[in-house]
Formats: sequence, structure tokens, C-alpha cells
Amino acid sequence: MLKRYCIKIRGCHCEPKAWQSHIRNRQHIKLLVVALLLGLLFIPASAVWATSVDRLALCNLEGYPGEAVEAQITLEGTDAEERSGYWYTHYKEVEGDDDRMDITSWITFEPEEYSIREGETKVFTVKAKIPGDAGPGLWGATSEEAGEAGHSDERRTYIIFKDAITGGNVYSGLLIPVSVKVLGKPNPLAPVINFVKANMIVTALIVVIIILLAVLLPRRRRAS
Amino acid sequence: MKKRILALVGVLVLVAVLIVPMAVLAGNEATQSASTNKAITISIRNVADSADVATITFPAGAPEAVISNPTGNVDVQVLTATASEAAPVAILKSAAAYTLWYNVTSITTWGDAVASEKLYTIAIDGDLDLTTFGTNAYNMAVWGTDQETTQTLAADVDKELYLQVTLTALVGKTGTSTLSVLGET
Repeated sequence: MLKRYCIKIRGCHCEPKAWQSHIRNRQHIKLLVVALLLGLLFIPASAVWATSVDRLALCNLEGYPGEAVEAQITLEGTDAEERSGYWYTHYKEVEGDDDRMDITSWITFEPEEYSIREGETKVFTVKAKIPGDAGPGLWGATSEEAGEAGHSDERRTYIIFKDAITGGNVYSGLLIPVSVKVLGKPNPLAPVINFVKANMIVTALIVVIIILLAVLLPRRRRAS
Repeated sequence: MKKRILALVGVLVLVAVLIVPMAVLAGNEATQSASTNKAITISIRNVADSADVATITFPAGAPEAVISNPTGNVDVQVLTATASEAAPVAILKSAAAYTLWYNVTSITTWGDAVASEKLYTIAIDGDLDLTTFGTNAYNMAVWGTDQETTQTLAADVDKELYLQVTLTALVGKTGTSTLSVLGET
């Protein structure tokens, strides 16, 4: 009966048991489609953001007095509209700070201004020119952990980028803490010392060879 | 004696030659990958989240008046004594948690027209009346400097932004400024 019904109505040639299974499968598919459609309602609309940056801190940059320390930082446009903005420095003044905390005068940007479109990336060079008379130690922050999340109290010098839709006057941006570890005067023999430290065995062998040759060669000369 | 020394030198040279190229051979290699999320600036959007807020305009008022109904390029802010009426001028959206900093910088004679500006963020659909706003809002009276606040934005938890200005006692003054909403991790 079911088979005949099946053939008549559906044009299907299933056996009764197979037809029941077929019906169950169709019901499952319907349920799946309904579930998927309901699920779509809970998928959030694609997020619209402004501008992304690849670094949230430029801390503990190392350099000698008189040197310029450079770091690259990249922005990516994620807003559907073009945004225009610029980089600048900020010093967060805290009572009791010494003159090591404000290093804004050391910092320059290349380029300083930008405009960015969705999907576009732009690389900027942040340069910190360490004065020749800067003493060794940490400058621009009170601790080496200043770059870590939640350590804002230890930050003093920041670089900031901010941008707005081109022509607009509502800006959005991020603060990026900066600190520099000024090293003591460089030792002119440092490269040699580093090589010896890194190649102790080879260096020892070379020294032995040289000594032995120094012993041997004079004897050969005397003999000849 | 010479031969012995030469032999010793030869052995040492051989040892040195063998030691120098200290190649490390590994039979198995595993590829790993990991990535960190990029940090993205705060989005300043209209209430329906259909457009960026690019401009905000406060209507003219009497000298020393308090103006609480600025217009964004889409929405008009409503901030009255009745909390249930409140409607923000913009929504702040962020994919990361930030402490908020504000900056209002004069473009033209902002200080001639505006004595101070208050900014406040509250959870979406939060009730806000003028009294609560007045108590909790961050007050800016210095233009052109980045100012740290205690207001925060959690990751993926949008907030409403409310603004209010108090005009100066001067008459016939108009000013323009930029408003910056900055984030710090």
C-alpha cells in the first residue's frame, strides 16, 4: 500500500521500510534547514572597525648614547571609508618624575601623516635619537614591564596615532608606550670577546696550534 | 721531535675542522604556527551601527547655557531629567579592552564659545539622566591635551557615548574642534 502510494504520489520506487527511512531523512533535512536559518539570526553582522596596528608597545629599545634606535610599526585600514590621521608623542606627567621620563623630544616619525583605505597597510619608522650625554639605564618609563598590559602606571612617554574619516573631526586612536634602555659606552673589543665566548673550543685549539707552530718553526729554521 | 709536533698540529687542525661546522641534524620536524590579534582602534558609530560618526554639532544656545543635545551625522542625542528618554550621540565599539583617553582640540576659537565639555560612556540601553551624567561624566576644560580617564571599554561590549558642553559668557561666538577618543591597554 505504502509502496503503491509512494510510486503514485512521489514517483519513488522505494520499499516500505526504505520509504519510512526516506521520510525520516527528509524530516531531518527540513529540521536542519530550519536550524540553519534560525542560526543565521544569531550570527553577528560583520564588525566594522577603524584602523589596526601591529604593535601595542615599543618598550626597552636598546641603544648607545648618540645612536638612533629605529622600530617599524604597521597600520592597516579596516574601515570601509578612507581615514586620515597622524602620529605624535605624548608625555604623561606624574608628580615626582625625574628628567628620564620625558623622551618625547627624542622621537620622530617617518612619515608623520597618513591616509589609509580598507585593506591597505602602511609602514612607519619610529626613530628615537638618543642624546650623546644620556646616562645608561631606562628612559621613558619607570620599569621594563611598562609595555605589558595593565602596567599603564609605569608608562610616561607614548607615541599616539589617531585618524578620522577624511574630512571628519571625530578621531579614534591608540596610545603606544615607548621606552629606551640606554647602554653604557661600548667596549671596542666587544666583538672579539663575543667571538671568543661563542667559540671557546676552536679558539683554544687555534691558540695551541699557534704556540706549537711558534715552537716548531724556529727549530726548522735553525736546522736548515 | 719535529715529526711529533707536526703530527700533533695535524691532529689539532683536524679536530678544529671537525668542530667548526657544528651541524645539528634532526630526524623529525614539526611545524607550528601561532598568531596574535591585531589591536584595532575604537569605532565611533551611530546608534544603528550603520555609519561612522564623522562630525558632531552642538546647537546654539544662550551664553553660559548647558547644551545636552548634540547631533552626530546621523543621531541626535537626548539627555534630559528623565532617564528612560536617554539616547546617545554615538556608540563606541572595540574588539579589545581599553582605558579611554579624550582630547578636544580647538580648530577655530573653540575656547571662545565653549567653557567646558563633559563626556560619559554607559552600557548600551543604560538609563541616564542629567543628574547621573553630571556626577559621573569626565569634565574637560583644557583643550589640546590628551587626558586619561577612569572610563573603560571592554572587548566586544559596546557603550553609548554622551556629550555636553557649557557655553561661555561671550555672545555671538562660534568654535570648532576635533574630538578624539583614544584607547590604552
